[in-house]
Amino acid sequence: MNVIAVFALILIVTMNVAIRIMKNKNSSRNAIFKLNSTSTKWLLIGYVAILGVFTIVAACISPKDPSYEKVAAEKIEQFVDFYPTLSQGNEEEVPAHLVEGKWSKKLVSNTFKIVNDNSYSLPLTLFVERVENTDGIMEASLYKGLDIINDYEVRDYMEDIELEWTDDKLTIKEKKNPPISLSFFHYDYLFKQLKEERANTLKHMSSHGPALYIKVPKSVALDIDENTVYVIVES
Amino acid sequence: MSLNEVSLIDVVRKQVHFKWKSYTGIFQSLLILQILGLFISTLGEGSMSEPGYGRSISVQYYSSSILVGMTAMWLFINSMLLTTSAYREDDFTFVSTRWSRLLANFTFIISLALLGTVTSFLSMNVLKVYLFIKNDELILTNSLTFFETISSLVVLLSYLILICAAAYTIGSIIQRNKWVGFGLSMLLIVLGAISVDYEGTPINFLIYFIMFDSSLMLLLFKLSLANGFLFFISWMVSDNQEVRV
Amino acid sequence: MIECKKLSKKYRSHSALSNLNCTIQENTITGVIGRNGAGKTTFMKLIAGYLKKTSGELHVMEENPFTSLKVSANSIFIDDQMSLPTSLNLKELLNSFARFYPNWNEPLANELMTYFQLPQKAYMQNLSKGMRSTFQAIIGFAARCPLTIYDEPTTGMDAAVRKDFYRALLKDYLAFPRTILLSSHHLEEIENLLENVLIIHDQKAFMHLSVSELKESVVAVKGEKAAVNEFASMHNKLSINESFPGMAMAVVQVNNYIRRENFPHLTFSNLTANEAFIYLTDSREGGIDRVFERSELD
Repeated sequence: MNVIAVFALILIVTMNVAIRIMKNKNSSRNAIFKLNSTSTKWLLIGYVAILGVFTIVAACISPKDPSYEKVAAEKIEQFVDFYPTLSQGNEEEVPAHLVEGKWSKKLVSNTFKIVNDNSYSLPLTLFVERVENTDGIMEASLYKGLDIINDYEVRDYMEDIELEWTDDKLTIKEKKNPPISLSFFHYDYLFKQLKEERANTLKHMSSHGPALYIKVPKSVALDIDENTVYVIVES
Repeated sequence: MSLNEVSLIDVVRKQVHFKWKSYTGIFQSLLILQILGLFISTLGEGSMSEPGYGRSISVQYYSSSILVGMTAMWLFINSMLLTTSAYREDDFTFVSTRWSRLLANFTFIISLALLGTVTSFLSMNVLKVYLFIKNDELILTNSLTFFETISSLVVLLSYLILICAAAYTIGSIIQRNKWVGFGLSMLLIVLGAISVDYEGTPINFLIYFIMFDSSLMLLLFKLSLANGFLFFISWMVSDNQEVRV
Repeated sequence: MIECKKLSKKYRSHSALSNLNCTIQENTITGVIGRNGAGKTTFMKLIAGYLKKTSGELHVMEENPFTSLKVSANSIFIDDQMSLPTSLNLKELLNSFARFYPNWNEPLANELMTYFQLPQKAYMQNLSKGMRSTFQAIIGFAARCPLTIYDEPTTGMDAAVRKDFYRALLKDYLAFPRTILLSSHHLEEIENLLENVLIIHDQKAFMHLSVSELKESVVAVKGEKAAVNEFASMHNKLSINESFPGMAMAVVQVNNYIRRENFPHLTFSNLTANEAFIYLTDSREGGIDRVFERSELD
């Protein structure tokens, strides 16, 4: 919004100056812009110098974030697979680096409650597997998700999710972090003409949400809110 | 007293030097238009926002096209203004013939185009720095390697020279005969409008012929040919131009 | 230096010059004189290479001035409509001229600027008309081009500056001879300066002769009406009117020397070149008095 205000201000100033110059065509003393040769020369040199400074600054700034690269296709492939894998209970087949966190809780009581603290649906996909009695120990694994915009990964995505474990309750919270804003800067067609990249980069988004896989003993009564959507794993 | 013999190259060089010194309005308008272009570029090309899995993600797109477009517009307008009578009479006050004036104007235009490419390319960095400061994440898609930078700058330069040559030719035609020039500009505008809508017309073929070429040498050759052709037409038209009628 | 044969310049609506013949030698000061709209400026612009001739032959320095680089480099055209860029001040303008013209005399230019009190850092638009003309005259002096053309250079100048201008023109011409074409409406001021006069009348070169020949070619005759009439009928009568009843004065164009002793009843007097020019080119019989006489009759 403030950009538009500045733009409008510039427009008004320019029009004022133009009108004033046109009125005072014969007395260049009153003209705001001195149209003489030396001032223009210095103006031009100064402008190019400022541009040079900005170029150097831009060159220094950009290597600070080197990790922004396009997501490789193989990485995406991993995420495509792991939902069906998990839903069949094959936790072992999911690659280990996708695990964000593992918990192992000893249950005290015989009931366990899973609460969704969000106003909307869960920020992750909940997989529940009822396992045989394992001395009242419940295990959970949190698997990473992937959010892609135009083939670039949105980072800090997992910080949204907060799991709060108490003795008999798991609360899945979502931190209200400020919205992520991404800016893409690209050189237009002219610069790409020789590289034969004719089509504009398609603008697309895709996302694979994270998954929480909980193994609850069959002896424990699981209380999950009716409105919560979860997947029951049939092994 | 004896008459001085002067060489054409000498006169052209002096005229170009004179133009660089005295056409201050052109350079000031470059600054103004580029700064304006920068401001407009910060508005971005489009944006998207998505609620996502909880957090909202907003995406904005920025590109270099507005800056390049502004520079092209600056060059177009000023090349056309170079043919008007005020500039023409200024030239003839000093040593000049029509041929030397044409050569000097083309040399001046080429140097203006060079200035335009360099400044527009460098000013994109101003945009990048501004975006770095303003946003938390800035992603530079299709960054250019060094060699790509040079070659694409050469391509940009050739395109700008083409635009200048076209503007100068149209300007000369208008100076010679107002109605023919006006009709020609109308024709070009109509053809341009048609080519946007319809694929496969001859105009489109011409545009694609130039724009879809990906070999540097061939592209430069085609553009040089087009520039030479326009230069020839300018010469034909402005050969008999009278001054101070 | 300049040769014209049957030179014509026609525009769509009218014709400016037709069948003009003249030859102008090198290193002379020639005044180009004519009535308003006679075609002087057109003639000079054709020589300078600004306009293109419609027909005929025109050679300046043995080349076509419209396309020749040599003519442009060796000639300069000064008039009150000189188109100078508005972004340069006077000093920078002088520097620009210095770069283009190899004979440029910088000390002379600076001295003249100081003498005429023209500020070096001023801009053309801020000067008065007279100062602008002075500046343009200075350019003409300092450039020292082999062909210098002045088209009414003294418009707007006050009398003192005009006097200085003529004096400077003569002095610089003597120091550095070149071909000068000078057109002015004040022939009486410059007739002492000029060597030759080219009178353009009716779009033709009416006369091209030296100033002294011009003066000798016209003579004023006063005396009794009958005698004056008789004399006038023998020669080309230009004008005649009655000053007193019975007495008349006539202006007559003579081709050769008159023996004044043969005409004892008549008084002869010489005219200045300016008056000679006026009578020679005046096509209306009786002059402006006729307009008022006719209106009185109504």
